[in-house]
Amino acid sequence: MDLNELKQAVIAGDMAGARNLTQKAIEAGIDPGTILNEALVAGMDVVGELFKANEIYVPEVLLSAKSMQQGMQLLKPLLVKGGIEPRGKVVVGTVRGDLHDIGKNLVAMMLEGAGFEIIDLGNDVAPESFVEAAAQSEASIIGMSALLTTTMYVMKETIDLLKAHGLDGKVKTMVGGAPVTQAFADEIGADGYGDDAASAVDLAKRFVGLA
Amino acid sequence: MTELLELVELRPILGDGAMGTMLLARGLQMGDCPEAWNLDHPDVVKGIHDDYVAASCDFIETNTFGANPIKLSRFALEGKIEEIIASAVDIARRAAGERCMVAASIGPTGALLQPYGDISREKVADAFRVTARLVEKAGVDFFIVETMSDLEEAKLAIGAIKEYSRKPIVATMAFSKGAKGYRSMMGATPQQAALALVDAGAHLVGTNCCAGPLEAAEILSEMRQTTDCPLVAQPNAGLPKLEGGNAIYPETPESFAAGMEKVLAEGASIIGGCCGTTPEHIREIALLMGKC
Repeated sequence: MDLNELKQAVIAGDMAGARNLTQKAIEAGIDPGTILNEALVAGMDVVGELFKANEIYVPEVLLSAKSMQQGMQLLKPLLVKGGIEPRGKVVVGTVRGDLHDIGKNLVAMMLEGAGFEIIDLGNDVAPESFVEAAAQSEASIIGMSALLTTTMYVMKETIDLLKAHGLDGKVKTMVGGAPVTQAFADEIGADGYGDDAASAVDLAKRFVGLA
Repeated sequence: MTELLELVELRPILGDGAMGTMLLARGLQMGDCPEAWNLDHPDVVKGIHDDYVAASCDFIETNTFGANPIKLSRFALEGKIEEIIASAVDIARRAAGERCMVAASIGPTGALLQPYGDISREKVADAFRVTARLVEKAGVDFFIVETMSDLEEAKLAIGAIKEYSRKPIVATMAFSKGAKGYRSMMGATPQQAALALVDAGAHLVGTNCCAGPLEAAEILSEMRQTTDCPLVAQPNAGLPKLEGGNAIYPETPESFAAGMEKVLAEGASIIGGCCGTTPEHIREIALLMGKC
């Protein structure tokens, strides 16, 4: 069976197709890790590049991510059984006082599409919750989102709290959201800034030594 | 009071500036529901309206941006929506008196429509129906559907308003500039948005919550290529910068007003401000327009 068909279904945002083709690939006896990397992750890589180049926009990315998730649902139990580790664990959330989760969800889905395990804390997440979740899950990355100019400063509290717990360096922080800039990320001491969901994936890969 | 649509035939109309960032400056905490202040701190909301009225604007917008059942449910306040809207309109009316018009601010639900998100079109339409019915009952002069990042959601809001009201509808969306020019979050160009919003029944279309006046002027110029509809621009006072832990919006009242002259030169029929603008910004524009 040709995995390229599944990869194309992910790129096209064909949810039913992605599910059926993943099932077929599993039944054909293809290694789950191979299906994940050569079809689902490879497809989302293309989607990320198209998104960064403004060739496609949020709706297309969301449909592709949902298609990838259709395949992931079938693969996940097999990956766990096969002892295939995720590329890394990422704790994500929208910061305290901010209820906007569209951007955060997009980043979470893109990261999942890149082979990361996501611990999604939702929105209105306190600095303590970020740090606690990262410590408990032994995540290597915390991703924070803010849409409001008034909530972006909460990101700094999380970064400061990580330092207070001696976790800075061990847990990398990345930040993003409409008002957030590289200069802001530098100022608050974040390890990285993602201009869009695809850049966030690049950043996470770099943090775990994959890029 | 002359009707809005007659008025825009005669001269450009000046709206107010920000409500949200003004409330934050007066004690609203991050993560609080701004619309709850219509019930808990009506004096503060009225004080902001009063300052805009004193700055010589032609209309003020009610503090109802997030007053829809979907957004209010995030604060467990959906049961109070009728009181919130009634109070918001009452506060604005008392501030406006005979001096200016009152427009209802209708913002997005914050949810993504299926198939991209999890909420159905019918649920979002129903939410806007609730808001439109309550606003019409409370009595405003016109509606402003604003800060929309999804054209489909904007169309649902316009459709819901038309079911309950014959008042004029202004519809504005947020655009940002990328490698392929201006797009909404969901990828609509200003031209596509203008056409679709007019088709859906908006009487005036435009942009708000975009980076600043110069960006707004460019967006209006693109919209003008596809529609003769009167245009609207209510940009932010620039993109905020961090100074000593506070968000500082870079456009001063003077620089903002100078930028809005370019928006007027594009033929805008309604101008005003969004995030970071203050009564001083609006007064400065009023001076330029010879209103005070």
